[in-house]
This record gives sequence, structure tokens and C-alpha cells, in this order.
Amino acid sequence: MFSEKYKDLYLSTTQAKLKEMADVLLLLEKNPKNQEYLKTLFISLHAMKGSAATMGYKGTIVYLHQVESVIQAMINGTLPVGKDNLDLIFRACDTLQANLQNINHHSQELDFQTFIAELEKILKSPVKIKKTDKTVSKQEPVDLVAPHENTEMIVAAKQLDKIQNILDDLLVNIMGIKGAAVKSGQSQILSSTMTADTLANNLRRELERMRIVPLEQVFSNLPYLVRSIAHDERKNVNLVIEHNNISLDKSILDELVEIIVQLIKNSVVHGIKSKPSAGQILLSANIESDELVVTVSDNGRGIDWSKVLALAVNKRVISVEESRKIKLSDIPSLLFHTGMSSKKNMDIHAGRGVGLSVVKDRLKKLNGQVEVVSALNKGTKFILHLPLPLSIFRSIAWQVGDWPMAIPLSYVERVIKLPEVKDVSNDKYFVYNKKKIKLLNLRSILPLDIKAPAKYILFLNIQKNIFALPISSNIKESELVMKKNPSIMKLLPKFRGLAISSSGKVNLILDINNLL
Amino acid sequence: MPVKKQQFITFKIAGQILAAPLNKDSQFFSCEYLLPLPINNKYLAGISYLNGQLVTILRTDKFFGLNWKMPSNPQCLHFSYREDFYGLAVDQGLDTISVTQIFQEKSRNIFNKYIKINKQKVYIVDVEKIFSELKIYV
Repeated sequence: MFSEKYKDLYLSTTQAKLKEMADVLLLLEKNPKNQEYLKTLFISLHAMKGSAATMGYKGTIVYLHQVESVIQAMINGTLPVGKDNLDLIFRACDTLQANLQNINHHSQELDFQTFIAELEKILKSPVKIKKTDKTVSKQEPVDLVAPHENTEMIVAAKQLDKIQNILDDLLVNIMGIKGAAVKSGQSQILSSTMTADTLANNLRRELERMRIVPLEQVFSNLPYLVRSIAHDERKNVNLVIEHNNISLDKSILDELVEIIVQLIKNSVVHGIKSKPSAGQILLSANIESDELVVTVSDNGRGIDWSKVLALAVNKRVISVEESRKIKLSDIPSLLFHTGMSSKKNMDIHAGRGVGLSVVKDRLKKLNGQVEVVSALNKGTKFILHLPLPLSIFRSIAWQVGDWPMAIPLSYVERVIKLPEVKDVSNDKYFVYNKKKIKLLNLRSILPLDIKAPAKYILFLNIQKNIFALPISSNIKESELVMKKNPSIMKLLPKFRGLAISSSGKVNLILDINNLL
Repeated sequence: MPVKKQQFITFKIAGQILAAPLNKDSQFFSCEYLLPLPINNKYLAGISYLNGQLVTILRTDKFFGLNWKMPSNPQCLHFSYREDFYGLAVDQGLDTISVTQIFQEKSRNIFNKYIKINKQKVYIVDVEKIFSELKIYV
């Protein structure tokens, strides 16, 4: 093996080539007479072979060589570009994808023997070419491995993380100097620090831009996936994508796409009916307030909620007693219960349930939420709500016991200092200007009973409603740098994450939605 | 026949010397500020910030059942696991050492592997065992 050190680079470049290959295959399927598509496929395969050779993945090289031979035969007209042969290349894409997964997780190639034998069989079998088939144009075999210009460079995400960490540290230090300059009244130092601050912020924004990927790019893999599942299910499914030119951080998109794939799989397999007319899945993404809303809807058979309820009782997710008292609006949440996610659930009329607990778990990682709207024979709509990532933000910060807390200033409508400290821990409402405002309480997210009297009240604007949050300590406005959540934060799902102050202190950022 | 050498970094905690496998991220640092986490988990000391990274600080003493009072600014052994950064709270960082033999003590259930330094047993911190106890990568 050449070196494990370059594995990440190999995986990302090959992944990009595979994506290119899948896109071209979809186009070729619609227009099998287009020789340019075949040549592009050949060039992608050749590039992948070169990368595999650099890494010393011998089995992969042999397999890619065989796939190349199949494409070459199509170009030379000795193999028709028909449905069966295109399916074979689609399967080759899947095999190469599985191979990448194996290399990624186990540092080992797949055993390609069976796959190679399948390709050899196709290449050796005598094929009758229809004379009318114009794809069989007799032409000289061309040198397909033409040099191509490439002005792009692939940088490993880990490398960007390192630069971002160094930059964050620089920003925190600049913030510290700025604070000291303000305190000591040194205007010249303050002015220089402000310039340094602007430059470092610009640099961070540019770095963030490098990590941002258009949804369009990520979603473009999905038609291939839908085609593949629909083909296996013998269904006719049309996927409509509305990405609305949204771009997001790649790390978030990677998680999001897994969720979407699961929902689309469910829609194709269980939602869409087997009938000659095409079923439709609509995938749309929109920014609303400060969240990303992704909708996956289908025009399939819909969910029979009475059967979901019966299954929940049967699976002992809820008791018979609870099932009698359950509100209609609470039934959809049963779908995401782990106990409901088993293969046996596939006989629910609408067939939902499989893998949905995984969707919920993954969304949790992104601090997201999901809602389901469905009616029998009227299709199903899954609506995902994801908070947009914070980077550098102004906040209101305070202390609760040992914990420094902060909340983005964008949520804060008003701060009032109470004329005298007041215990509101048992109150449900705070009355201000003769209006009753619902009080929030940190007791629900902290492992202690907060009984300290309130000094301040923060009025928070959450989803166009005003809530009051009592604060017992002093408060300050503070600029914070949001950091990527370490895995340990999975144990603290009620917090949005962690951010660093100018003094290098770590602050817990409240997830407002969890306070409601 | 060539003998494969393995490198360890050693440290002291509660009067005992322990060893951890040496990797490219191994370094000792002083934990200037520690955010305790609002969670009941005896293995977690909190979160610290080091060179732009959030570092989750772990209670080495709790994994080894040692009687130790953690100082407010403990020394920590920095290491990375998957995509996260961790620190093992210790008393004092010691030396790196190369060994050719790892021993196993059958009477111990966990952390039962050890190396010998000056004929003394030095138990090895098994990172995989730590994360199976913490259950955050399940």
C-alpha cells in the first residue's frame, strides 16, 4: 500500500469522480446515442484507475480496467448501449461506491472476483448489433485519456478544520486585546486591533465559504439513488428538487443528506404505489427565519394513523390505556420510536416506520426537529427544521451556578432590570406593561433546582412569540466564537453547543426551543 | 528477527505511574479554564479550550479507581480520538518510552495491560475501553 496518509485524499477525489460518472450515466440513459457521454465515462474511469494505482489498490485497478473495457466496447460499437448494459454500469458504480466505503471504514478493498467475472462474461459474449443502431458508428478507437485542465484543488476537511481552529484562537486573542484596549482607553491600540479584527473576521468568512457546498451539488446525487431504488422496486418514480440556491456547511450537509436519503428510500419503497403512472417525490429546501426547512413529500398512499397506533400498542411502545388517551397530534411522534423500527413494520398499510428512528437520531445531532403530515391516500410530507449554524455572534451571557450561559442576541427582544430581586421560580407568567408573558425556566435543562431570585428578565422572541427568561446573576453583552460541537455534547442535547469568549472561556449556548 | 517497538507516554497520578500509547497529538498541557458539564457522569471533568480546539477533559482517576482530588487547573495529556480532542487529567507528565513487550494481568478486568519500567508494572490506558465506558460513540 502506498500510504494510508493519502487515503482521505483518495476517497474524496474518487468520490467526486464517481459522482461525475453517475451524473453522466443518467444523461446517457436518456440519450444513449451520445458518444461524448461515453468518452466522459471512460475518462472518469481512467482517472479513478490512476488514483487507485497510486494507492496500490490492485483489485480496484483490475475492476476499473474491466469497466473501462466495457465502455470502450460501447464506444467501438461492439457492445450496444442498451438498458441491460447500462444497468451493468450503474451496478459498477454501486460496487465502486461500496468499495470506497470499505476502504474508508476497514482500509481494505472489496473482493472484486465475482464483479470482474460478470464483466468478463459480457465482454466475451457474442453480441448482435442492430444495423440500424446508430450508436454503432464505426470509428477509429480514439485516445480517450486526453489531458484535461484542472484549476481546482481538493483540500481535506480536516486540514480546513485545523486552519479554522488556529483562526478561532487568533480571533479570541484579538477580542481579548480589544477588550483590554477599551478598558485602558488606548485608542491607537484599539484602532489597530479593530483592523486586525476585521481582517481575521474576513479570513474566517472566506474559510467558511470554502466549506460551504451548494445544496444543488449534494442533491444532484439523489436522482441516481431514486432511479436505482425505483428500478429494484419496479416502480416509476419522478423526483422533483427545489434547492432554491441554498448553500450550507459541508459537515451539516453530509448529515442532512443521510437523513434525506432515508426519507426518500422510505417514500420510494413504502409510500409510492406500484402503478404504471409515475409517483412523485418533491424535495424542497427553504430558509425561514433562522432555520433551514427541508421538505420531503410524496403523492403515495399516505399513513394510516390508526394502524400506527395499533402497532405502537402491539410493540408495547405505549400501553392500551395510553393509546386511548393519546392526542391525534401526538401519534406521528410514535413513528420515530425505536421500538417501531423493525422490519415487521413493513406491513403497516402506508409502510412507514423503518429507519425513521435513525432519522430522528441524526436530526438530534444537528439540533433539528421533524414533523409529519399525512393522510390516507393523500401522500406524506416530512418537514425537517434545522437551526442555521452560528459562527461569530453577539450574545447575552450570564452565570448559572458553575455554568456560564449565553444566548444569541438575535433572540433577545428586550432586557429589563427588576427594581428589586424577585423569586419567580414558581410563577408561570411575568406581568409587564399589563401583559402576561410566559416565563421560561432553566430547571428543565440543568441538573439543579434554581431558586435564586431574578435580577433581570430577558424577553425572548421565539417563533414570533415573546417569552420571559429570569436571570439571577449579572449579565453582559459578549462576542462569542461558536465551535464545532465535540461528540460529548450528544449527552447534552438540550444545548445548542459551545462558544468561546474573548478570555478563552467556554460558554454553554442555550437551545431556546428546548426551553419551551 | 526484528522486534517491533511500541512507544508510550507516561504520567503520574495519585502517586501511581501510568502509560498511554504515544501518538502525533500526545502532549501535556495545563488546563487553564475548565467548564464543568451539567451532566452526572463521573468520568467527565469538563471542557477546556486549547489552541482553537475544544478539549473534553476526562477523569483518569475514575477510570482506574484512584483516590485523587483533581486540582482546579490540572495537567492534562492531550490526545485525539475519531474527530474529537480529549485530555486525561493527571498530576504530572513524565517521559516517553519505547518497549518491546506488553504484559497482561489476568486478575484485572479492565486496564489489565501493562509495561515494565525499572521492573515496575506501569498500567496502560486503553483508549477504546475509555470510550466504551463513556458510551458517546455508540
